Amino acid sequence: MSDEADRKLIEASRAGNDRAFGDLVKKYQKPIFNLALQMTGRYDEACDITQNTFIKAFSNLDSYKPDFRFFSWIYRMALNETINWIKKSCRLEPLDRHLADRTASPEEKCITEQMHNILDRAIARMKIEARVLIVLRYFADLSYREIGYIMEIPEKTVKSRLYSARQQLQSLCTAMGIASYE
Amino acid sequence: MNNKSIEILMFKTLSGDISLDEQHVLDDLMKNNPELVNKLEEARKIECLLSESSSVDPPPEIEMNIMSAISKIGHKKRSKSFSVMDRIRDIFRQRIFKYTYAFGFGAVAAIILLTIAPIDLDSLHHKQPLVFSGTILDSNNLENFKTIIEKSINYDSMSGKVSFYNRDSLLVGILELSASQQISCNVLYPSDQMVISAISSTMGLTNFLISPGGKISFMNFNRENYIIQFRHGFDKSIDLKIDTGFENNTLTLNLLVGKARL
Repeated sequence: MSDEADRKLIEASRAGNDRAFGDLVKKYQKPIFNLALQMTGRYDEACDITQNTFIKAFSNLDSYKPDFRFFSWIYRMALNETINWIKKSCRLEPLDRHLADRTASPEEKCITEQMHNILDRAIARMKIEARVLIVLRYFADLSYREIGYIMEIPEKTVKSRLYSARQQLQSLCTAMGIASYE
Repeated sequence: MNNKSIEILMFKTLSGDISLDEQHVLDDLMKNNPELVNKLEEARKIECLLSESSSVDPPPEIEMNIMSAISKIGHKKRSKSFSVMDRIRDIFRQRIFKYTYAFGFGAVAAIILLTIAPIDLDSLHHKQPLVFSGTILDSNNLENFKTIIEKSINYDSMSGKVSFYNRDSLLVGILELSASQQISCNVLYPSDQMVISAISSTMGLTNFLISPGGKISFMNFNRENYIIQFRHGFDKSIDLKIDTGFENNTLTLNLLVGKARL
């Protein structure tokens, strides 16, 4: 679905068509849920954050300006919601990797699981800003420009901070033994 | 070339942003540096793991919950445009956030004081953001709660209603803020099954800064989060809607109603 299609759905939602907003929910709930899940490490919290984000987006739909993609707009909302939760709760747990569907041989799966668990734990230990960058870049596949918009920093800063974030993640992963896996 | 420059080149090659010339430089550097090769390999492994990370499907009830919530919010109540009032409110909210933490302590004290004895908050009304902290301790104290509110609050420009719903969308309670400067609280849910007590106040306070689509978070005894959605109209009225549920007939609620002068 294109940005133009999003715009039409937003217009329809503004005009009172709930089904149009439902289509936006269908389209974007997964990336937003995954952002929250990756950031918080908690399934239930991710559900709540996703719901709150969409409800908030609906309530503020009239303030949305189509200069940026709807996805970036709602993603920023989701990110704020998530960061607020993290700041309030200070509880972080690694993700339950069994939630993810992976297809591999049992041995490969086991090794990959272990590596992913280490990676998740490492991500959970990162500072919030660095974690956000990693999640946005690698889990949401956003461009530097979009990350810049969401985090309200210039594109160049995104690159340099992402560089530092990767360094941080690499150090954590190495310290936690990820390099020992072949 | 210093270590930093080498690291940047490595980062660039991993992210695919590297130019041909830079790649040649990196290749040359790696020829005589096995440590660098290992380092790059390690970084590649992490890059690969990151790119492999698969996404998880959200549970289907999310969509249903969202649609149910927006149908309750309705379109008429949604703000019509990003108006001057919204901007003023944004500025107002940003200012308030600066004082939130300091104010949190005040709210804690207010809750304690209101729990122990009713106090008159009128003296605070015109000096700083006014926060009301109401605590319903248990069904036997509901009457006290009502009394405390009526005695203590003088919201000269606020009116509105807080409705409490359970998971079955059953209306379980109403907190009304009327233009006649009275606040009343009716709990429709069978009161003998309802236990309400205060928890950490700062969370509620932090979230209860009046802005469109804001929220208050609170937890029940099972540490499950519930969210109170609320809206603030242009006429400064408050329309709070709480769509939540009860677990084992137990709900922990910390309700803070705040107002600051524009």
